[in-house]
Amino acid sequence: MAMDPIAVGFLVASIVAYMIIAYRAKAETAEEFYVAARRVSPVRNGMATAADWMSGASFISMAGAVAALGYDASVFLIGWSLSYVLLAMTIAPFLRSYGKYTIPDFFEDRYYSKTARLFAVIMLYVVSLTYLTAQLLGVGIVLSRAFGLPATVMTLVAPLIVLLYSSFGGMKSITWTQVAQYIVLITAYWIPIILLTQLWNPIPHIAYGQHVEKVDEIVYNLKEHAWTEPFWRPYASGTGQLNWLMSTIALMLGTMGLPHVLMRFYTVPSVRDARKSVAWALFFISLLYLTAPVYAALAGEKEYALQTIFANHVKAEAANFAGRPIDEVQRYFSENLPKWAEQEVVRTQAGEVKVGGDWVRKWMDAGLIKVVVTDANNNGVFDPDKDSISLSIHKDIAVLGLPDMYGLGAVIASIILVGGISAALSTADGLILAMTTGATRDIYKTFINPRATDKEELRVARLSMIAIAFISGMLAYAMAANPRIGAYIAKTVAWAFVFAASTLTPAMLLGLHWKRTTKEGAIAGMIAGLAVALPYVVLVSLGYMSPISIAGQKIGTIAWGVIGFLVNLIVTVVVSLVTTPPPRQVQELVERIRVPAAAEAAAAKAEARAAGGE
Amino acid sequence: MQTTINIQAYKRAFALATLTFFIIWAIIAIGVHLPAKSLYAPPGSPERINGAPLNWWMIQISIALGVILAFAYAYTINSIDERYGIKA
Repeated sequence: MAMDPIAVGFLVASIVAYMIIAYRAKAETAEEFYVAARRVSPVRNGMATAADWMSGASFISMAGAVAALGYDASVFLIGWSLSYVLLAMTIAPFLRSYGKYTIPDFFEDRYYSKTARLFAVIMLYVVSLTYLTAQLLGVGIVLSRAFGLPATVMTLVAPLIVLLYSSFGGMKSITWTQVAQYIVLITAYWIPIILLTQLWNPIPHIAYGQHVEKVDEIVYNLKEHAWTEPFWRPYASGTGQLNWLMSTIALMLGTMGLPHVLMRFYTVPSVRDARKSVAWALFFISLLYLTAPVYAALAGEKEYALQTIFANHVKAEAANFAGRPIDEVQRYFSENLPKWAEQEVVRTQAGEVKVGGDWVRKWMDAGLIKVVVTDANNNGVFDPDKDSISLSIHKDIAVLGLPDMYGLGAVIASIILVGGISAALSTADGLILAMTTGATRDIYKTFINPRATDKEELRVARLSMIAIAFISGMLAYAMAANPRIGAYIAKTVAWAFVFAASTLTPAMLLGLHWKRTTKEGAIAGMIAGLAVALPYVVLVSLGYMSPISIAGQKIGTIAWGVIGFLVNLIVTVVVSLVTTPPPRQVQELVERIRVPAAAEAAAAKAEARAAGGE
Repeated sequence: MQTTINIQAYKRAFALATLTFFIIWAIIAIGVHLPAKSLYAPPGSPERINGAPLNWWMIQISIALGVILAFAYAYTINSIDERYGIKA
């Protein structure tokens, strides 16, 4: 695959811009490094949170997941957006009211022990590393499209790019780069949809219903189930409506425990701003999430029509190849597919669908559209009764390939690539920062050198940032080299949610709202949650164990997050009740955060400030 | 003490508002999707709206209402804060 000079040009320009922004906003003090001096306005923090939140997977693969899963992809669309309302009601303002610097900071204070902090740091690393690896894999794949180099190599380059601008300094510069990255990613995502003028009747997000109708009919003819029909496709090893419900709730619970998102709410000036900021974050997120179904229907129409044309030819011609070598069959269908796509149309009651041949050829060359011929008896010879011929279309094409499908031209296709990289980078920024503060404030400053000066602290922060980028780059490389694990980015991202839902979320919720929660309870709960979640998620998704069924519905790996959450919750409550209640000042603090800075509590707050070192 | 009474009332108002919003949230986020199978209408059926069945439109409606709900929540709680003189 050749290098795409336009995309590379845009990319280099955007990365230089991020570097300049980061350098101009670099942190001079530890306060700026950790919480951007708590001077970020709600709108700006909302934008940065949206960029932090929306990963490469949201940008590149979300629409593809919707195209592939139809209605059932609502798990991701709803689970990852409506969770923010819950975050506003239960966590973000209270966390801001508590007024610490990092999530493990909160754990040490609330659970009055260094062990709790250590546990929180470990969980933070489990969650963030899983998530970061997936991001870097995403950047690697898109970079490899732009530069025409193998994805495995590019996954190693990806963390270096993040270091180029994030090593300058902490939360303050990352807030500004994330704002810039949000603007780049949302513009890139919207441009193709805006340019399709036939969709402006009245707005694309309504007008695209006509495309949904075509996709539905084509999919129905192929699979005897329509695209918008609910609950008939398996995903993340689960099936059925119960799995849908549990998965949606698990993704919501996971969102509420992601440290790199939570720590953004430390940066706003007040508790009220934290509430407003969550609303803005959801608004900026919805601009992408509401558009993903439009992409899915537009791309799905072409993709499923291509599948139909392909299936018709296979049905008519496969018998002619009896006894021929497998390679020859594969070559025949591969070579002719773009021609068929160019010449033939698929008729539906809602109108005919022209597929077009150029994009099919382009993405076949890139290896994302493939003709797969099985060889059941391994003799290298095609047997029409036993062997099958199928067409595999990579789901990332729904976004990356859309400009080509609708003839929008190479420049638009390059803009999409840059948007995808910005989305993945902005999330990687936040994750690397979360892990860096974990290493610096929560390990170095707490356990190794409590008397470290601001300058020493910042130096350790920069060094640990480099180490974390290097380690995660190596992990992403390993994933890219193993296609079985690396193929499905959204799934790996979903793991992080399961771990967060089973460990950090219950400890946050109970810690902020139930003053009787003890350190023993929280720690036991986190261990139990992880012990329940980890083996199931890993064994089931790698195929070493079959998923558990409830009423004939398989409980998939994502849905399992609810089980992890409940186990953690129960263990925490039970252990808390049988252990000594928390010290009085902790219980009072939990009361106090409910009434932030009230007249009565003003004096008490001053005391808390002195104790917390704010 | 006058402020103590205020704080009790504040907590009640806060809890009531949060509970109300939580119920609305549960309906918007989960409730409207539970009857997805009944809202679905096969291709070509007259019950479809602008080409897609209602269960499909509910995905986008749910997200859009969620955005409105988040702003409404922030506005409501922040004005309760103000009414009770809580500076935060």
